[in-house]
Parts: sequence; structure tokens; C-alpha cells
Amino acid sequence: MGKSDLIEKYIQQKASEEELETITRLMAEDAVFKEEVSFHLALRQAVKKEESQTMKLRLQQLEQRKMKRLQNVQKLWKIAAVLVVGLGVFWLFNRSTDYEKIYVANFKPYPNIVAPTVREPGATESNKENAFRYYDQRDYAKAAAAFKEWYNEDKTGYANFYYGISLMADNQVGKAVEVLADPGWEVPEKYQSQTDWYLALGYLKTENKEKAMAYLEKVLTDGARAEQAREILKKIK
Amino acid sequence: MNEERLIERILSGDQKAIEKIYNRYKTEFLIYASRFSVNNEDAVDIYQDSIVVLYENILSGKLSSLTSSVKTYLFAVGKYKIYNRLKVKTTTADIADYEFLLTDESEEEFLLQEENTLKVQRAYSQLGGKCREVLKLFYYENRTIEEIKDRLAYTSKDVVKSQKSRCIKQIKEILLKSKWANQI
Repeated sequence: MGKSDLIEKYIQQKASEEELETITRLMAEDAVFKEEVSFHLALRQAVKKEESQTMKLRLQQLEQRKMKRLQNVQKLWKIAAVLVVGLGVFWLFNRSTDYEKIYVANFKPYPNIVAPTVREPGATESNKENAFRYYDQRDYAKAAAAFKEWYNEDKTGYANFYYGISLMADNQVGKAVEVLADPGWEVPEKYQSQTDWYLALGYLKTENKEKAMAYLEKVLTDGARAEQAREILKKIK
Repeated sequence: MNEERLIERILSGDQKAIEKIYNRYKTEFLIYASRFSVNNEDAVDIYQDSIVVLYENILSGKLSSLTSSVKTYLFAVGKYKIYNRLKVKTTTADIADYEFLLTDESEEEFLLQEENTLKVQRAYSQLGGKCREVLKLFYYENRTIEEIKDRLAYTSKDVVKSQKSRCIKQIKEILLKSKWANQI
């Protein structure tokens, strides 16, 4: 066996007893051999150190990659959260408030043009008188109840109109729309255009753009609210 | 993937397998280490060192002679290293079984001068990829020439041997040059 093979075995700790003896003897006798052995031992140590460090570095990089990925995910969540909130705010201000604004700017309860309320002491009040009194006092919840009762009593056409307006003024807009759009109600001629107008506002408030526009178009053909209707249509188109 | 399979893959040179082991036990180890008042950064560092020791002992075949699982061994090494870091004297019986794995220095090594090793290490790190591969398999993974031939798909053992000699010669040349440069 050659000297280099012996060294190889020695380095890998695979030498037999016999070979180890030979190596020990050669180390004592042969300075060059001894130096070669020390060099290979140093080399083994060096390779081991270098590869251990490389391995450690690899694990550190693995750790950094994981951290970065985690941070990126967290960052993405943060961005997503900000976007969602931002979009929500944007939507609130740009969409619903537009209709809300228009509604608030345009809605006024229709004036009481029917029955000036003069309280007669001692007299029992009819539903009609009751209703208009509440209406004039701007107690719209009670007014609505009274108008409803009165309308159910004798189906007076404009009682239902004021019932609807009271609901709307009491901020029960959905119900108001139902009442004013009730197909069983015969709308008095005098109140037709006003009913269309309030329905348009009601649909605006409940964000039914299509119906709101349809009623506004109807209002356009009739004088009183035409100008207001045109303005609104311009805004929401 | 079970542990035998992972060890097989490490032995066959699969670089991802050790990362799998690393990820598998990390959280548990950090919880374990937190019992010893080691801060998180140190615990990660210790864990990485322990994985390196585990890796080297798998490569050298020492671990396959153990009856314990990878995890038991890994945590024993980790505990030893935690004690070391905390400068607690390790007389505990529970790591005695593994101590032979940790004291790996062979007797001859005291002959080596740290300084020389460092120079050789620097020279080794300057080698090209192919040389590094061969020397790594021989000196670090303790592979036989036959195994190196198979792993690197060389045509014969002689080719491996001559490649290895060429690489060692390169290191010697680098060392010689630096010596010469130092003398100027």
C-alpha cells in the first residue's frame, strides 16, 4: 500500500491496527511523511470548520427568509386593512352621502293646506283635527298614526298623502314610500305631482336610483317642483 | 416524511432534508430553551449550532448507531449547548449518553496549530466548486472514494483520486503563494 493511501485511511479513521502501526513508525522515521500527515489533518480540520460555518450560514439565511416572508405577509395584511377601511370611508362619503345629502337638502314636509288647527275648548277632536294638530306641532309619529286611522275610517284621499309625508318626516322613509306608492290608493288630482315628488325623494333616500329617476322625470313635466327635480337629476346621472 | 427517510436523504446529499428537520423541531426547541432563561436570539443560535452537530453526526454515520430518535438527540445536544452558554457545569446524567458525539476532537489534533488551520481554511474557501465538492465529501462527510465516484458521477475511482490530488495541490500552491507574499 502506498503512503498516500495510508494517509487517506488514517485521515478517515479507517486504518487497521496493523496500518496504524506502520503509520506511527513512518511518522517517527520520515519527516516528510510526518509533515504530509499533519497537513492532511490540518486540511480535514479546515474543511470541517469551513463546511460547518457554511451550514450554519445556510440555516441563518433560511431563518432570515422565513422572517422576511412573515413580515411581508404582515405588511400585506396591514395594507389590505388600510385599503378596506379607506374604501369603506370613500364609499360612505361618495356614494350614500350623495343621496343622503340630496334628500336632506330637498325634503320639507308638505305644508298643512287643509285644516288650520284651531283648538276648540271642550270639543271632542276628530281624527282629522287631531292629525293636523300633531302635524303642525311637528309631532310626526303621532300625526302619522292619526292620519292612518282617519284614512282607514273614510278613505279620504289626501289623508293618505299626509300619512305618507308624516312617516317620511318621522324618518320612516321605507314605510312612507310603501304608503305613497300603494296601488290601492286613489291619488287626488291635486296631490299627484306632490306625491311623485315625495316618492322620488323617498327612493333617493333608500338608494333606489332607477325609481328615483323615473319619478323625477315625471315631476319635470309638472311645474311646481320641476326646477328642483332637474337639479337633482343632473347630480345623480 | 419519517426520520429514517430524512436521514437517508441527508446521506444521499439532499440539501433540503436538513432544512425539513430544522423547521420541524424549531418551535418546540425554542419553547424548551425558554425554560432555561436563554433569550430568543440565543436560543435560535444554539438551535442552529445543534442542527449543524446533528447534520455532521448523521453524515459521519454516528447517529445511525444510536437507538434514540433524531429529536431526542437534537434536544440533548441543544441542552448541552444551553448549559455551555449559561456556563453551567454539565454533570447531568441525561446527556452522558451523547457526550461521545460532542467530544469529537481526535487526539492528534492538539498537534495542529490554530493558525495553520485557519490558513488552510482560507485556501480551501478559495477553491472552485468542483474541488470543494470532492474535498468536502472526503474530509467533511468522510466518504470513500467509491461513494464519491457515484455521487459526482465520475467514470472511475482513479478519476476521483487524481481530481482529489489536483485539488490538494492547488491548496498547497495557494498556501505557498501566501507564504511567499508574507515574506516580501
